[in-house]
Amino acid sequence: MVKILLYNKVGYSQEEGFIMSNEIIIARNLTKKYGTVLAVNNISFKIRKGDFFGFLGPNGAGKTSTVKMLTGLTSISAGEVKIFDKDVVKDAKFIKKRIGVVEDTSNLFPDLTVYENLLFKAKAFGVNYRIIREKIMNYLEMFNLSDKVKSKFLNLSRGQKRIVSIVSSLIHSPEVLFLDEPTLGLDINVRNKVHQLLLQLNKQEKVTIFLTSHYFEEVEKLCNRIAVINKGSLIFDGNIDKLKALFPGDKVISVELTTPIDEVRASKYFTHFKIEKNKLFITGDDVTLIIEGINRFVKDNKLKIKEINTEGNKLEDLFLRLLKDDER
Amino acid sequence: MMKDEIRNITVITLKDLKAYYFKPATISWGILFPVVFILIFSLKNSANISTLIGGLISMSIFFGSTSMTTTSIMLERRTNVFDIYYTLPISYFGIAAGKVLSGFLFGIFTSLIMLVISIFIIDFKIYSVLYFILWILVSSFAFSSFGVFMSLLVKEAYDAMIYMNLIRLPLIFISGIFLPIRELPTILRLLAYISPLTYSVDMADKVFLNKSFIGMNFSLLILTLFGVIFYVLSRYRIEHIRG
Repeated sequence: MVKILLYNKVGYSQEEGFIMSNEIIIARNLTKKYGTVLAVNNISFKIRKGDFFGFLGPNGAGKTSTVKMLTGLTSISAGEVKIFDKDVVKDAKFIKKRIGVVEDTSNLFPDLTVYENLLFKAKAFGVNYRIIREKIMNYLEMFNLSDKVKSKFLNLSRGQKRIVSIVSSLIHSPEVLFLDEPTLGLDINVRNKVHQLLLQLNKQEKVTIFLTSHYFEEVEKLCNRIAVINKGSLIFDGNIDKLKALFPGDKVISVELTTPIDEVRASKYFTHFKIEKNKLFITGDDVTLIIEGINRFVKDNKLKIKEINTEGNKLEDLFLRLLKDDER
Repeated sequence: MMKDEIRNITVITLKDLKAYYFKPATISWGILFPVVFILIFSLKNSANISTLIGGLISMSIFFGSTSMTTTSIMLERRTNVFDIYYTLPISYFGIAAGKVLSGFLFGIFTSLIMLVISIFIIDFKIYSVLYFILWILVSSFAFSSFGVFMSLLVKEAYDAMIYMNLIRLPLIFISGIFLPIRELPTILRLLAYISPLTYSVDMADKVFLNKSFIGMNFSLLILTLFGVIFYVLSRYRIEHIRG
């Protein structure tokens, strides 16, 4: 077993995985161009069988383009993708039979019912006809959608459409699942049910999952490995502990004020911060300096502090730090 | 693998027929429009309607097949549902075949409706059952492939039906349905030879009138070639629009 250490453009050590037989997805120098626009720029990564891989990045970073290249939904401008040791372009049919895809939009045939849509997918993947109905009904019951089985897809709510799209990607029991923001727009209860299902598939059925999400707590809860893409380039690949290790001394101080906070004013006092209504989150490695900054900020702007706390480093804060460092 | 391919072609076709068979655009342009044409001509010119029957049925296959394919592809591209096909274990040729097959079946269905209606209002004779079957099958295939390709060609899927009618309606008048090709001005006659409808009408004349301006076998060959060419072009267009 050979361990490979790679270094990305910002100099972080990237443990890219191991050369071993259980690497199920291998992307090498993957590039996507739309005309002159470079959406994905020469990225490489490997995903092992059973990984729950979180793929993070700001809007327009290249997440969806990457998922589309991995799943054959768009052409690859340069580089190659291997899944199950087969080329995603040359052996597309072999691969597509064994993967499930949930795109970033909930698209199924609007004029067909929920059942007809799921039946279409099941038949296209050659699911045994005798178990199709049972499988469909089990999934719909899991999400309390049994009563929608005869409803046209067109008439479902946004959240219901999302769930049916997720179910449609699972109907043929794929070995690898690609999920592009699957829980976007779902309420917290349904999102938790999706999480439970995905964890069950990953832990018990050993399904390898590639997940893009805007919910950091979702990625933190589900994924054993994450990669971060920014402006088409991969800037981090590893687990959350490794991401935390990149900013070892970081502390987060949260300050709640009595009035809303002006971002421009705050930027004169702090380098790494985030504002949520009346709350200011400041990240840094020297607590004394942060407190001094807060005192000056409050005094200069005649503000009143309601509450002040220290917090642990969240994935979202680490992600923002990583992006800011990459911007430099 | 071939078994999977055939199964998925059938799955796409059956889904199309189920989802788009009763769509207003399919019904109005695919069935009502040719029916109205037959009724108008039978009332206006009942003496000569038997000489027009073949051309009118060709036209109905043309409108039926192309309406079915245009409606399904237009709706699916507009709502991005077309992407589903790229996630299925099926080749681009298979996707094109699924689409062509649904238009082909709808074309046959339309032609049979026209034939049944015509039996009650027009006095006509079929000179060769074999030619009749070949004419219906090859016309449905060629027009369906044509419809699939044209629907995939337009950039804005929303406009597919408009563009399709811009092409279809003029073809009615230059393909020998109402006016023999030999009587057309030279420029229109040249255009007539690049219209697939011309060859279908010529085959229809052989079936119903036992006469052919171009030649039955040659029309059969050209129409089959049209079908194959549009089918192959559709396959490459499906790959191209994937992005």
